[in-house]
Formats: sequence, C-alpha cells, structure tokens
Amino acid sequence: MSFSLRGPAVVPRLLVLPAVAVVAASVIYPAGWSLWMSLHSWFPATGTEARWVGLENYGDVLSSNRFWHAMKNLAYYVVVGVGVEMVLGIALALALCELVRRNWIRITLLTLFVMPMMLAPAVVGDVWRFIYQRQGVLNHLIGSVGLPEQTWTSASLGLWSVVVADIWQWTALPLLIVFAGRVALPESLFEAARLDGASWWYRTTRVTLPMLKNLIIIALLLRVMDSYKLIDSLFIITNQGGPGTSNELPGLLAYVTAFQDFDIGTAATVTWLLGLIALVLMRLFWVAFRRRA
Amino acid sequence: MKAANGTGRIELRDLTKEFPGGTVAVRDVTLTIEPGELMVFLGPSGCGKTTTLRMIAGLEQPTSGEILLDGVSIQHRPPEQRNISMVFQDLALYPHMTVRSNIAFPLRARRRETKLPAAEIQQRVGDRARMLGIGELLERRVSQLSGGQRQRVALARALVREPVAFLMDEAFASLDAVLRREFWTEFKRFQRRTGRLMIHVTHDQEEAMMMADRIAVFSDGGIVQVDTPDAVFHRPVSRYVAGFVGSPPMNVLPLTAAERDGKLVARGLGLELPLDGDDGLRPGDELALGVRPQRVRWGAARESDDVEIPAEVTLVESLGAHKILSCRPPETTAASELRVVVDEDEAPAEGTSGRVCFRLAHALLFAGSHPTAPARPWRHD
Amino acid sequence: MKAAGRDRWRLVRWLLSVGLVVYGIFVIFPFYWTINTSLKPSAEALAQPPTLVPKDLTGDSYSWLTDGQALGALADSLIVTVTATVLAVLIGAMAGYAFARWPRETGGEEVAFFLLSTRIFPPVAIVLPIYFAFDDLGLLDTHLGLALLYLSFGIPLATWLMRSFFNEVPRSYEEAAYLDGYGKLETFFKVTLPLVAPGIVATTILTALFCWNEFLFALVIGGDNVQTYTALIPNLAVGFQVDWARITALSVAAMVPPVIAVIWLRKHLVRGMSLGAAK
Repeated sequence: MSFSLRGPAVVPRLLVLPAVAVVAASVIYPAGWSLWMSLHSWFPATGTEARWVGLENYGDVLSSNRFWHAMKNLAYYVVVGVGVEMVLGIALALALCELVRRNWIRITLLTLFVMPMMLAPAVVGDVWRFIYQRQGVLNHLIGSVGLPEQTWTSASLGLWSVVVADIWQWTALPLLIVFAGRVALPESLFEAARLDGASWWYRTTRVTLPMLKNLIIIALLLRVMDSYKLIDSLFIITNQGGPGTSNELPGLLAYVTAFQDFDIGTAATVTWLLGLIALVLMRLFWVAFRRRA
Repeated sequence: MKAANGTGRIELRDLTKEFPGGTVAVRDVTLTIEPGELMVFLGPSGCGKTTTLRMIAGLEQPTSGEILLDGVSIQHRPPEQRNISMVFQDLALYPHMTVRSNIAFPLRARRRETKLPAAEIQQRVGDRARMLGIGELLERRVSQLSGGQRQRVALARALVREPVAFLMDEAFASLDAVLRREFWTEFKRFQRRTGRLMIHVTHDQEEAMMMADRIAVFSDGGIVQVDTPDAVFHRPVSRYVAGFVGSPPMNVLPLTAAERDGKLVARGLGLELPLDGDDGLRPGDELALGVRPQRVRWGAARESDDVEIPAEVTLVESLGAHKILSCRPPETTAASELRVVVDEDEAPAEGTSGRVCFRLAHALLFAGSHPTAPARPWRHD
Repeated sequence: MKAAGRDRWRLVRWLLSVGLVVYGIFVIFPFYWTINTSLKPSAEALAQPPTLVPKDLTGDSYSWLTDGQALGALADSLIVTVTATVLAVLIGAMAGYAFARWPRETGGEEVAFFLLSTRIFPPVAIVLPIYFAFDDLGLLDTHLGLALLYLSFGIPLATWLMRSFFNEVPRSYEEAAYLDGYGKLETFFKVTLPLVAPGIVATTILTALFCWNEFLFALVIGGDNVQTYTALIPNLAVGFQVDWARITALSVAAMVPPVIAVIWLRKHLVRGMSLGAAK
C-alpha cells in the first residue's frame, strides 16, 4: 500500500481535516465568542469598548418579560406546530401508502407534497404574507362563506399564522420519512394481520406504528431541532416579530437585539442560551439515533 | 361472523382471476375440498396455484366464480371475516413482539367481538405452544429463534384461533433440506390429529407426494388432475402430469403411429408395439411411451409382454442403496436416454453394453407429443 | 355487527381519501396564487376583491425581473450558491470518503456527531460573531465571505451525505481492483468514483438547494454589493404600496430551481432531508 510511509492514519486524517476545521471554526469560535461576549456589555454604535459585567446579562435576560414571552411563543410553536405536522404527516403517509395503489399517483402526490419543503423559507414567508394581507385572498375566501375577516398578522393571531405556514412547508418531512418506512415493510405482515382478524385500526396501532416507532422519533427530533431555529418566515410574515414584540421567537429576539438595538452583550446571552438548548437536544437526538442503529 | 364451526368444506366454482393488463392467472378452476382433508396444490411457478390460494384467503378478489365455505358464499367477505388462517412463505411473524404476543395476536385482535378473558387467551396460547413443542420459547423475541422454531411459531399462531381451514403458501421453503423432510412428516401427523382442512401450495413434487391426501396439479391457470398421490403417480391424466410427478422423472420414448395388417402400431427405436383402443390416432401421428425408471430393469426380457431395448450405460449416479443408470439406445442422442433404477449390487459399470426391459403393462401411452396429450395405461386391461 | 365493521372501515377510508385531496389543495393553492398574481398587472394584484384568475394576463412583472435589482439579486444568489456548493462538495466528498473507509482512524462516531452539531445550532448564534469577524477581515458584503460562511452548513451536509453514499459502495469492488493490480488512487478514480457519481449529483443538488434558499446569513453579511434574492424580499415588502405582482414574480423565479431539483431528485429526498437516517 503506497500510503504506509507515516502510518495508515495520515491520509484519512488529512482528508478529513478541511471539513473538521471549517466546522470547528463555525461552531467553536461562535460558541466561545458568544460566551465571552455574554459576560460583557457592548454597544458598538456608541463607539465604546466592551465592559465586563459578569453574569448580569444572564440575570437581565432571564428576568425579562420579553424573553419569556418569546420562549412561551416557542413552546406553543413547537408543541402545536410540530405536533400537527407529525400527526398530519403520519396520517397522510399511511393514507398514501394503503389507499393509493397506483404507483404513478403515489409518486405524483408525493412530489407535490414535497414541493413546499424545497422552497426558501423566506419565499414561503413571502407567499403566505401575501395571502394573509388584510385585503388578501384568505380574507376574501373566508368572507365569501360568511365568516368574519381577520388581521392575520396581529398580536394575537400572528404566531398562529406563522405556524400554519410552517405546517404547510414542513408536514412533508415526517410524511416522507414515515412513507418510506412503511413502504419498506413486507406486505405479508399486513396480510397475515388481516387474516388473523385484525381491523384496520388494530393493524395500524399494533403493527404499523410500533414498527415505525424509530423513524417517527427521528422525524420528530428533526422537526423539533429545525423548528426552534425558525426565523425566515417569521421575519417576513410578522415584519420582524411585530406588532412590537408580540410575535417574537427567541432567535428573532436575538437578531433584533443585535442588529437593531445594537445591544451585543444581551444578544450574545440570548444566543448562548439558545445554543445550550441545542446541545441538550443534540444529545437526545444522538441517543435515539444510536438506539435505532 | 364465525362460520358455524361445522364441517369445513371448501368449494371453488369456475374461479377466474384476470389481472389488469390481461394476464389470466386462474382460469375456471372448479374443485371441492373435503373437511379434514390435506389438499396440496402442485405446479411450477406462475401456474396459478398461489393466486387460487390467495383468493380462498380473501387477499385477491376473483374476477368471476364462487368460493363456498360449508355451502355459504364467501368470495365477497374480507379476509378478516373468513375464519381461515394462512402461513406465509416468509412466515410474517411480527418482529417487534415476543413469541407469546405473536401467537396471542389473532385472539386479541378479535377480542371485542369474542369477549375472551385474558386468562383464557393465555391458556390457549400456552396449549398451542406446547402442542408444537415451543412451550419454553414464549418469552423470547422472534429474532432470537432458529428457522425451525419460527416455523412452529407461525403454525401456532395460525392455529390458535381454531380456524375452519388452514392455508400454507410454500411455507417450508425457507427451511434447509433435512428440516423440511422432518416437517413434512410432523405436519402430516399434526393435521391428522387436529382434523382440519388444510391446503398447502408447493412446487416440490416430493413434498406434495409425501404430505397430501389429494393433489391438485395446476398448469397454466387451470387444474389438470385431482387425485390421490398414488393415482397421480400411476395413472397421470396427461403427459405434463406424468412428467411433473416422480423422481427421477418419467422416461418418455417418442414413437410414430403406423399401420400393420390393418391395425395400428407404434414404431420407433427399433420397436413395433401394438396399439389397442381408440385414441383418435392415425398413421403418421406422433405419440410417446412413458415408463417410470423404477419399472425398468437392466437385463434381458423375461415375461411375454416385456419390451426389450439394447442400450449402453453412459452414466451411473449413486444414491447409496440404489443407483440410477442413464442408458442410451444405439444411434440415438442423449435426449432419448432411458433412466433405470437398480439395486446397487446389480448395477453395471459405465460403458457397459446390454439391454433394458420393462413390462408393457407398466407403460403409459401419451396420445400426442404436446404436454396436454392425454395419458392412459398402454394396455386396456 | 359484521356490517358495522365493514362500514366503519369504509368511512375511515373515505375520510382519509378526502383528507388527501384536501391536503393536496392546501399545498397547491399558495403556489397557484403566487403564479396567478405574478401574471397580473401591478394594479390588479392589489385589487379588491382579489381575482382568482387574472383579468389581464401580462408578463410585465417578469420583464421587470430582467432589468436591474431583481436580476442582480438572482445573480448574486447564483454566484454565492455555486461557489459554496463546489467547495462544500469537494471538501465534503473527501471527508465523507475518509469517514466511510476508515471509521476508526477518523474518530468514528464522535466526529460524525460533531459534524451533525451544526445542523442544530441556530444560525443567529453563528452569524453574530462572524459578522464582527468578517468586518475585521474585510469579508463583509463580499461574495467570497458569504460563500465561506455557507460552508458552515454546507460541509456537514455534504460530508454526511457523501459518507452515506460511499458506504453503499462495497469495499469488495475496491479490493477486487487492488487484486487486479490497480493502485489506491487509480482505484478511486476508475472504480469508486463512477459508482458514487449519482450520489455526488444528489449531494450537489441538495447542497445547492440549501445555499440557494438561505436567508439570515445573506441578510446580515450582505449589503449593497451582495444581495441575494432572499435578502431582497424583505426590502421589497415594506411600505404601503407594495408591488405584489413583482414580488410574486421574483418568488416564482426563485422557485424554479428547487422545483426542478425535487423532480430530478425524487428518489433521494428522504435520505437528504433526514440526514441519511432513513433511506
């Protein structure tokens, strides 16, 4: 073997080096910087230097209503939004698999369902913002059946409007994963269950879903991980969390704090807190992933 | 919902299955299977035996025809309501459940209707498991079992509900050769004990001969013969059946009809054999003679109706207690070789020239050269 | 009772079929509405009540796309996407191959886990320090800067995918080539690469897709010089008299590459979106 000059480990490590270096730079550096900056107060617009404040920022953030309001929004968003995506995605995947028998119809429908996932979240935000306009098509359709028109981007409805747009875009993810998993199961299992006298409900709850449990967990974790990074469509539909800060999510809160208020210390604190949550979720994902493999 | 746990007779009337695209998998199949009978559907792949079985189970809908269970039409009932169980080729055991849960599944699935108490379910599961010799494996996961053990679990699950009929689709295909033979015997005993109607689908003629009470031989979507194994072996109805059943396969000697003194005779290989009976044959028609290797002897003719053919031994295959000779008559090719089964003590060596002979009474006449050519014993005795 | 069971099943089936259709309409409608609006004249786009089918079909908004700001934005997106994708796939393929063929020497599962971590980090956490760093380095508002930043998610994605694809090429193919006398490098180019080519195509398309669709980094790092179409959208959508016909035209133009990508990549979708966890 021609690479045995300095031991077999050299080549693989060299090959891997650029990738690991870039990732380290884009994870470790921001993590370290954010941590350091979160212990300081800095307003670059005023031209002053960063000032050490210790844990004061953390105290401020964790006691601020705005922060907890954003976290509450996040909780709603994750539970309702991701919850609906999962249930809808699984139901549609099973329906597609068991009801639709012609293969070309299945593939056509799947391709259609998957289109929203492929768009830029910013574009999705754009599209839905237009639909949610006060004089827009949604209010028009609702009005024509007699229901009252709404301000979809208001303080009370704004978050849910974004959730609907998110459901529109991302239901296809659990749908795809569950569909692929279900299709891979041998049909004889279900035929045997039918002969054993099991009704559709019994078959689905006792055979289909348990066998797809691992895939469902993976889909769930992927969606949760992705959803709490949400910024793009939120930014555009609610015009940066508006009205005011009523529809903010923590990610957007950090952005606004940094690039509008130019309060870098606080922004760094918020991002670090978010990053911590990321680490915890990542461990969860890894454990689930390991168990499946 | 449950058919009266009555006799359990299955009747198929003019059953036809045509798939979209034009393929006719099953064509006008008519058959009655008696209660307590072990019926085997035999045939090569694609002959319609599995499709027919699946129609009986309810997994395929017939294009036309009727399926009756104890005189009641069931072809419109979904599989859940036919009280028939089936063991699949890949066994279809639920991998995420224990053996116990697998066997209990049919009972639990119908619990709402039957209102079986949990204790009784457990007892039945235990009984069936013990009957099949897997009583100690109840708590194991399916993935930890061997092939033979899984087979038994599949059987236990199929039986726990006391179905009226029991179907098997090449269910022993995944076992190794030794285990399969054990299962044939064990299964036959088992079927006798439970006394239920069972239909088994296979392409292995040996399996069919060993297990069946009656065999239904399938070809091209239809049944060509339904008979006991002995009858199928000794009195096959066509050249196809004769060639399919029996190992080593039947010897087939192609002959031509000719006339001698106003009577029909069959000529070929230096022979001239009398043809009695009316088969619609005319001089010049192709026909064939069939004789089983077990009925052919190495040696000179002894009886008055012995047919003798000179031949050279080209190949000797050993099966331990006996040997199979491939014997080639002079001026013929390998295609016309006769196979002869002899005791190992009497076997000549390869290259020996001599004679083979057989009694005409043991031969079959195939009135034509096509597989569908009707077959009958050569002599109308 | 027998009949009830069958009827219940039929009801459920019916409901699910209806559900599929309703969901299909739900998915199609925004697409339809966007395309519909982009083909209207600007005034009709704002008309009350909104017209479900354009009264005057016009390509005005599309011709607006071809001059000036919008075209520049699409071009910027293209430049950054291509640069980032090429780099990401190259580096990712190298790393993916190493992870696939030498799992022990490259740190095994732990390093893979590390690579996965970037999918989880919120972009906000990354872009904040990078903003200041790029400012010092002079990379703000440059195509190169943005492309490099895109590597932060592009490389992990490409590496993960390529590793999964390389794992599907059995070692026995390469070993057979070694036995036939080929050297390692030659084997890689003559045997492994052709087998993994469809995987490379899929990885490239998927990586490019993520770059094309990216928003936050482009918004923060970009400026007057570099403005991707995603960063352009909020600018167009502010104010009172928003020209929706034009915005939707831009959205439609931006949708074209992803839609083509889906149709092309139908088979690899699950693998890509679930990071190879499910195939």
